[in-house]
Amino acid sequence: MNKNGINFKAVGKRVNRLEGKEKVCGTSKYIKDLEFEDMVYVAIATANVAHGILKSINVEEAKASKGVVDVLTYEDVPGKNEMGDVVADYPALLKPGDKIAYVGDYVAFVAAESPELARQAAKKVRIDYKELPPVFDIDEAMRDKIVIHGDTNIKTHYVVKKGEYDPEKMFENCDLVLEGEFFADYQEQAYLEPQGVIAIIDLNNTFTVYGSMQCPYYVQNGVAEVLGIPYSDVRVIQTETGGAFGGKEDVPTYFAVPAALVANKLKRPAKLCLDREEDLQLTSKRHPIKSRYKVGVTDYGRIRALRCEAIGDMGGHGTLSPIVLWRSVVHAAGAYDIKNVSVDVYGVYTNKVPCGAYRGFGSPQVFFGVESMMDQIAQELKIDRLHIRQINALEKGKTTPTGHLLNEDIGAKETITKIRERSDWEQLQKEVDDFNKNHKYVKRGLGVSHIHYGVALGAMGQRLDASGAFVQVFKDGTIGIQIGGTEMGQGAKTTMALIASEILGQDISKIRVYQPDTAFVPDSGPTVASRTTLFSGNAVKLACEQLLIKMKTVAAGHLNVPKENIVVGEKCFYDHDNPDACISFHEVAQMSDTENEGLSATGWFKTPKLHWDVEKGFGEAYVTYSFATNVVLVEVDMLTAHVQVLKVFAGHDVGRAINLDGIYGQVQGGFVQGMGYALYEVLKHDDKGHLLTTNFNTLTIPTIQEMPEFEIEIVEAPFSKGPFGAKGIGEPSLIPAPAAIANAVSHAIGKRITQIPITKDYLLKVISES
Amino acid sequence: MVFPRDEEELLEQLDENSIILNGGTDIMVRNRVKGLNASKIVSLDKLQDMDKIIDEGDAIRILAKTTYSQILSNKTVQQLFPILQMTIREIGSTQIRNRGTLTGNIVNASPAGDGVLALYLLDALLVIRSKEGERTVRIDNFIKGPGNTALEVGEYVHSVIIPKCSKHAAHYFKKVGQRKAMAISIASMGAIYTLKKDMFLNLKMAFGSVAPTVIRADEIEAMALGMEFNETTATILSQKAKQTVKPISDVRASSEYRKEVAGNLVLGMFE
Repeated sequence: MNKNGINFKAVGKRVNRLEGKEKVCGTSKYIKDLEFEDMVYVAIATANVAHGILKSINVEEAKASKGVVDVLTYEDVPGKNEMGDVVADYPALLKPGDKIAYVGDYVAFVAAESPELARQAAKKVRIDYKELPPVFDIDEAMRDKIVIHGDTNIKTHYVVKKGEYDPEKMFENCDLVLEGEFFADYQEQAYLEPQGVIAIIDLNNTFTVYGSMQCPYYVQNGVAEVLGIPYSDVRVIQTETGGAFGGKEDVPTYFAVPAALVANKLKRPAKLCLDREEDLQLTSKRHPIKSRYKVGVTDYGRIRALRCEAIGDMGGHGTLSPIVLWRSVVHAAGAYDIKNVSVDVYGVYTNKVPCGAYRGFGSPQVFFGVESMMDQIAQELKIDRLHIRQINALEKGKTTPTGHLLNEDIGAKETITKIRERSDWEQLQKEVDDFNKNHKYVKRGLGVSHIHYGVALGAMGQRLDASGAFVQVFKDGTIGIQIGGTEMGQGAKTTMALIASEILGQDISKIRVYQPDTAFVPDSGPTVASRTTLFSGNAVKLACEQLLIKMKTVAAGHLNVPKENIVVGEKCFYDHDNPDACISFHEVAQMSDTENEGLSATGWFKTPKLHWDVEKGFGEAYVTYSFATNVVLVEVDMLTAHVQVLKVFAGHDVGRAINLDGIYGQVQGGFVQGMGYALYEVLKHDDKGHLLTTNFNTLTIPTIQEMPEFEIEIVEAPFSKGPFGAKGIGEPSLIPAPAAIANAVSHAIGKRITQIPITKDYLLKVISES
Repeated sequence: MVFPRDEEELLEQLDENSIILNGGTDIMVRNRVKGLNASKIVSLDKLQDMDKIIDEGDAIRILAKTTYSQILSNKTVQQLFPILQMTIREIGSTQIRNRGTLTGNIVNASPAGDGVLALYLLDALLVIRSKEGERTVRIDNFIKGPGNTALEVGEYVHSVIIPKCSKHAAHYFKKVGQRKAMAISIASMGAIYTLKKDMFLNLKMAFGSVAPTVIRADEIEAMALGMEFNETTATILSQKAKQTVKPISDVRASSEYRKEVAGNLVLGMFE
């Protein structure tokens, strides 16, 4: 029995990851491990100029290059020459007269007998172009002196307006009004496995695309549109995926399209696997966001009004940016109960790599801003920093900054209370003060952050927010589960198996969760937005519940009792009134087969309807919210500006912990990734728009040496529509980290950090300024 | 790629188109990124008896193939050359130290070479051999600039000779990298000094990554003599350090940061 008094068989158990052994032993098949006979290898020739108009393309030299089979240009695109899942403004192949919007725009695809020969030939594709002055800076882009697409660089503008939002009036009754400006730069997803796909013409004489990806249905749609063929003729199978973090949401389509175009033209299997340098230069990043905050509070720390204006750098193409920046607008006012809110978020084009999805999806940047403001207000009012969050935090009966009335219990305040206790907050602060009194060049600091995160796609993504599952029980009692959501390292397969195990009683060692295949499960939306446990999980649960009815009937027939009497036990079914009358799961499966019961079922879960006013940015933004609180202890070397995170206290309201070890893994991994953003990972470009940090020797991500000590508290405030009450944890694990770390560094040095990553260059300057 | 088995075979292979592979932790990376400027790779892999540390009485001799890990586990080095231990421990990771060699680090001639910085402080000598014979060059005369050494066509670095220094000297090293491990130095400082009645009897100080090569801070070394080991001296020498270094801005850090930090590293030594 768990602490909430519910007796779970599988949910919340600590189990080994379903596909763990193969990953650890190196026997898992990744895209690079797959080979097909007669395969060609694809390389992409890019424009290599940041801003211009394409005049002509010359592929003669590339075509004559050793081992080259063919070179494809815009003339080889049979369907729509555009890509992009939210904004389709990304040409698959530029044609003369087209705008070159960033150095990585596609000019030609080279097919050759080896990847090396393809790459060599791609370098020989020549273009003639009219060069235009590029725009790289957010503020410059806002001024619209140089315009990249259409008549303005401002592609999106979203608002949230609540209560009194007139900037002149909204701060009238406040005792203290503070302002701040913040900048959160790029971050690279840095998944272990670079992007890769293979497109083949298959046994059905249709296309099958294999690849490392999060969203097989995006790839299916994108390939069908560019090839101009029916959706039924594109089947997408996800291969084992070595990390994604949002970086494989829309992006794999941009590599599946070249591979499919080549396979289509040459009628040969075509493989496109990027190396690290290509991957870093050609794939989406976290949006750089500039934000300006104004917050008004009472003298005891209650927030009365919050104003935020933020601008996100979308890069050269729109792709997913609008939906990312919509998440920024919803989360920009923080996880608090605030009467008057005014947020404006703009997205602008620049001549750089298109930004896209990254764990947290436009929210870590604004939480850095709003949570820095919270620490500053607490400091100004001499209020305890956990207390100020506690008195402003959301709870049942309150409304979010978008006016979403919370009508279920949530665990926001409990994450704060639990972290206060776990960290021994008062004592910890005293220890830090004592340490600092005794050290001249090394200072310690404590940082706090508190966040909420809308689970799943939300009001603006409702049309995609549904997921399916197909579950069958085989006659030997084993179970096969097919879902539309993908496993990319986050533990989805294990979570699905635990849900099935909970319903059907079968042990998870007898459950297999297959690689997603668009031929078997309907479009289940993307595997993003911390939605898989909720959406695929519910779909699996629904399918299993149907199977359970069938199996109970068979078991009841065998035990000669009414089926209402049948109870699911561990790997068996028994009579409620006579537990000794028991039949194994395996036997029931076998009998169901003999009796032609057909033990298969589908499950389909769709989003509860959300009411949202786009004009005002007001309403039910997301189906539910996960909450988190971080307390972070850092040590700053005042001489070198080196920062080390020593200890983290992380409290997370996950609704219900289904895959407990998976949650611990997510919290640790997410925090460390957020720490990389806060402290280590800097992307630099030259003045021509080329990325300079093209490998992990200059783009430094944390290693095991940077790993802090973790104390994790799980809060379970069940969500009525979640499977067993579960919400999501994938992204909330990362989001509070950058803000808490920046606050801790500010505390240590006694000055306010206003940009992340906190580079040594920047930090030493802040420390040295008197 | 060729694999000479002894020195004779090795010298036979060295010409204007060859490059020596001795560990490979730099060459393999360079080869992948931009290719090598050589048509022949001469691997020292099969060369016999070239991975030893020999105690020669008043000096130790480290042969060309000796890896960082071998140096770290050597008793004599542990006792007499803490600075070599301190710097090598900061290089790469265990895996890199198991493959990488000190001699390779020297010939790579990076201003960020951690092991090289120790050799500057220890006034190490390099034994260079060719068909014509042998010559000995001091480390600071050998390294001319980034990737540029005094090595002529047909020559290779046979060994490093490190004169033994006083057991009573204090050794100090601090490296600033982008992270704790697997990071190239952004700036570093090492020192060996002896105090008598809290005054500098002697001081050797070197900086890494703040000039085209590792540099010895001759002026600071001279200034320090007779000065007290205290905060006042720290401030004076720290200011001097900022004037001494000639850093550049690159993808890892700005020149301003490096200049400031060079001074701060001196302050840190006095803490």
